[in-house]
Amino acid sequence: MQIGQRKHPIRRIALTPMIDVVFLLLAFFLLASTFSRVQTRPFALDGGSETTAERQTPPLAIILKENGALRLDGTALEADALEPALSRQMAADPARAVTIEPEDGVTVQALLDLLDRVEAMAVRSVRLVYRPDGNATEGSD
Amino acid sequence: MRFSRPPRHETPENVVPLINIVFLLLIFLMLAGTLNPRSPLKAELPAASEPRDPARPEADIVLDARGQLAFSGAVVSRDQLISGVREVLEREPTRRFRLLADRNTRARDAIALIEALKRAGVGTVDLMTERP
Repeated sequence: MQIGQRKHPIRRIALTPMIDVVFLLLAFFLLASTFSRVQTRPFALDGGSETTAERQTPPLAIILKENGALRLDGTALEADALEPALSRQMAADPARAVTIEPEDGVTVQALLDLLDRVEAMAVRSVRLVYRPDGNATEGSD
Repeated sequence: MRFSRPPRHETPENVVPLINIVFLLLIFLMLAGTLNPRSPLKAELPAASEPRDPARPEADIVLDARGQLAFSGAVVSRDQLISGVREVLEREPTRRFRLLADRNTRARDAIALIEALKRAGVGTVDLMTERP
């Protein structure tokens, strides 16, 4: 049995327009997409969680200087001496709150690095201090 | 004057493998990337040392390295931002705001902004960082 030949040969589908469109899509996604992995760190601002018992001891004040040096309750510390000093203080009073105050010239990155270090020490409450009147004071609290 | 043309027997370029590769790239980019959020200000995510839950890349409020602010797609002043935030809070009182502060922004500026948001009635600010 012989199958009769088609009268009209099948026309090849033109691929060029499709390739054009696909290249356009590719260029769009290359330019418009991002691969940075984002996470968020919550800051609760209400401040209503403190009880009066926690308020009895004043918070431990950490001042962060531009060169990375620290001041813990008025005592100057090298950047890497924070953990032992802080753990001594927290061992004495585990419920004590900590405040962090950056001086002028400290970047957000440096502040977040310090926050992560302090939170890794099982500090229950960390607060950021904002003083609107310019210069940070020298550990007066 | 006559030139004899060389006979042309070129077969058409085989484009199917190319299309395959391009399609693969396209599918990869569509699945693996997320669309870059449009913002009038450029801000670099600060790096974090501890991993937390991943989040969407869109920010509600952008604070760039020079201290400029952007809110809902436009550069705004501090007062405009606060009034815009108040309007949103009237509709959704428990709304959380996602703040993208550039890693080189002055920390005092960022804290001052967070303080101003607190006074405007914001309950929680989510600071966006880059996953380690």
